[in-house]
Amino acid sequence: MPAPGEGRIDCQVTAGRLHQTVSSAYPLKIISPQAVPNPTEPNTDSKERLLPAVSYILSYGGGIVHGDQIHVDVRSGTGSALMILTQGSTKVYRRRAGRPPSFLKNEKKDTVYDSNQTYQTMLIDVEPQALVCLLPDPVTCFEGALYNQRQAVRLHSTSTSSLVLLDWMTSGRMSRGERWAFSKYLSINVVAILDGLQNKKRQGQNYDSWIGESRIIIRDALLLENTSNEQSPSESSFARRLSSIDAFAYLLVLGPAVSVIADLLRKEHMEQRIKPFRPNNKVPESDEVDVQWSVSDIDECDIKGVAVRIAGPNTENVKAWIKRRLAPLQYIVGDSAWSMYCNA
Amino acid sequence: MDKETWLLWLLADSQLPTGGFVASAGLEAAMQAGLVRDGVSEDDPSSFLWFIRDSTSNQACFALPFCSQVHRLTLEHLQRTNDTFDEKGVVEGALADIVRVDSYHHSMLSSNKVAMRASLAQGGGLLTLFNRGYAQAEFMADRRGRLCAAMAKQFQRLSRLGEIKAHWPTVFGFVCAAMDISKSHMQQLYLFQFVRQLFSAAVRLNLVGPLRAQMLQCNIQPSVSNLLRQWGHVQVSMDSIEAIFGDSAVYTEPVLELYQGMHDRLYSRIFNS
Repeated sequence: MPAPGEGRIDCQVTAGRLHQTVSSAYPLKIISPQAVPNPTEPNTDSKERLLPAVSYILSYGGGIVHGDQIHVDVRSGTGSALMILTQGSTKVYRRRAGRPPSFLKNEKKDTVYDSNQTYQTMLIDVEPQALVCLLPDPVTCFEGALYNQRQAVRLHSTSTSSLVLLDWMTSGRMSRGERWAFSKYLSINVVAILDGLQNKKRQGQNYDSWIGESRIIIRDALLLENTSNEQSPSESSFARRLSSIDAFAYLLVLGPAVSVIADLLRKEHMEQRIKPFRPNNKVPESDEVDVQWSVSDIDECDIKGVAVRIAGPNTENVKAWIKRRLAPLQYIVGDSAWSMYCNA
Repeated sequence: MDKETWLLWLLADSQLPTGGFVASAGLEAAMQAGLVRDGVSEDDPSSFLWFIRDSTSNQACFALPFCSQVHRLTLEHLQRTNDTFDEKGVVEGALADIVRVDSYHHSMLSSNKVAMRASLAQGGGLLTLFNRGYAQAEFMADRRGRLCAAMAKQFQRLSRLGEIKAHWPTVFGFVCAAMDISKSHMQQLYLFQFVRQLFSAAVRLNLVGPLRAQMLQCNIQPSVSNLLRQWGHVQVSMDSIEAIFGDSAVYTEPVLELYQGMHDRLYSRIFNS
């Protein structure tokens, strides 16, 4: 039985069939609707095809309350394509005085974590010839929230493990006029290669030995926090720095299974030249007008792909921008899994 | 005049041959893409002055900790020579530590190609400058100096072999330690150079005149001083997964990072980053 807030998703393909096992404990809930692969085209090699699986990470109450320590371990076995989704944005509620209820107490982690803050941790292992697509809705931090999001993905093969990772956030409860009003947002995305490939069959991760078994190739670490010891608070406040946007996204597309998406992004990046800015430049009408983005090529230790940063004054436009770029996933994970993401 | 002051002035020179003059830290892209606007008041959020302030504060928590860490590690290994005659062992031990810090910094730049290019170019430039210039100076002729020169040589050898990337903050920390510049002076110099380089880019992009730029550089001093107070003591911690998930080396400017990434999309450009 998992400890409070802990969960596990495990996908394995044996004898051409996909087996997905999930477990979770309050306040976390994981559900896995069935996804079916597209019918095989006669001339494709069925061994190359990935079998799709979908898991929704949910929480009771529709958000994360202060003091929650969500922890999910994920393993996507050879031959599987796992989509991890959420249902609606992840709300991080404001900090309240006092300690969280004692039945959520997690003895193991109480010494490491500050019980006044909220933590969400995900450790993902991607085996050879497997794909993980982590495509959540954005995180929305309420006023005063203190949020730490930590995601570490370990690729077991530099040449055949693939990943799509989307990490994004909104400015807050915009309808209530709360923009960039939370107290802390720390988001760490780590991509590593499993060192010592003979270990690849091992079951489950060991949190403490993770670092010794992994070689880190990407660490994206964003901190938005107002420091109190500043002489003039407005000068450093992230609310001023982010005043022109309401959504910011970081997207990683890595590995051979999704190279078609990375190639298209690279191509678009090189073709969409930026002309020197004129305040009265005429811009064509489209829902992508206000979306700003840039693509950075990644080629580290044989892992190839792109990192994309996207920002816009409107969550819907950013979402539409991302969905359009990820559309080739439909052919990679199949129509049924894709539609669960796309129609959400 | 003491040696340290003299060396600091040399390193603070805008003509220091490390290639810093081709870098604008994303200012050129931000200007062409419309984040930074020409001709607005300096209080306006789209003024280049805010860009410089935010970008400097980003450097203080993103790169400065790496610089401090390498400085401390180099000094610790040099200390060890008081107890051992195994100089080869000291050199190798120091480089092993520097490689770890440098590759961790590399992972933090691997999804920002433009910033990585600038960091590698300037780091490589400074390492060459040290090897071909300072390492052969007379003040480096004592035992400590020779040891540092041996480390620098090994540093460059590993970098040629591709075993170390030699990023700007890493090399900067090493060179300052080798030249016996104190940690606090090194940190001041690091941020001073960064700010000066950005103002120089702003002048060349015609965002501000050269005379006004001097005045503004005076005014920014208290903010830089604040940043040093706030981030000067930070050590990069990377020995456990909790450390990797911690906030000891972070970036704070997602929007600036995004605009910097647009640099290669510019139709015409004068800077390399």
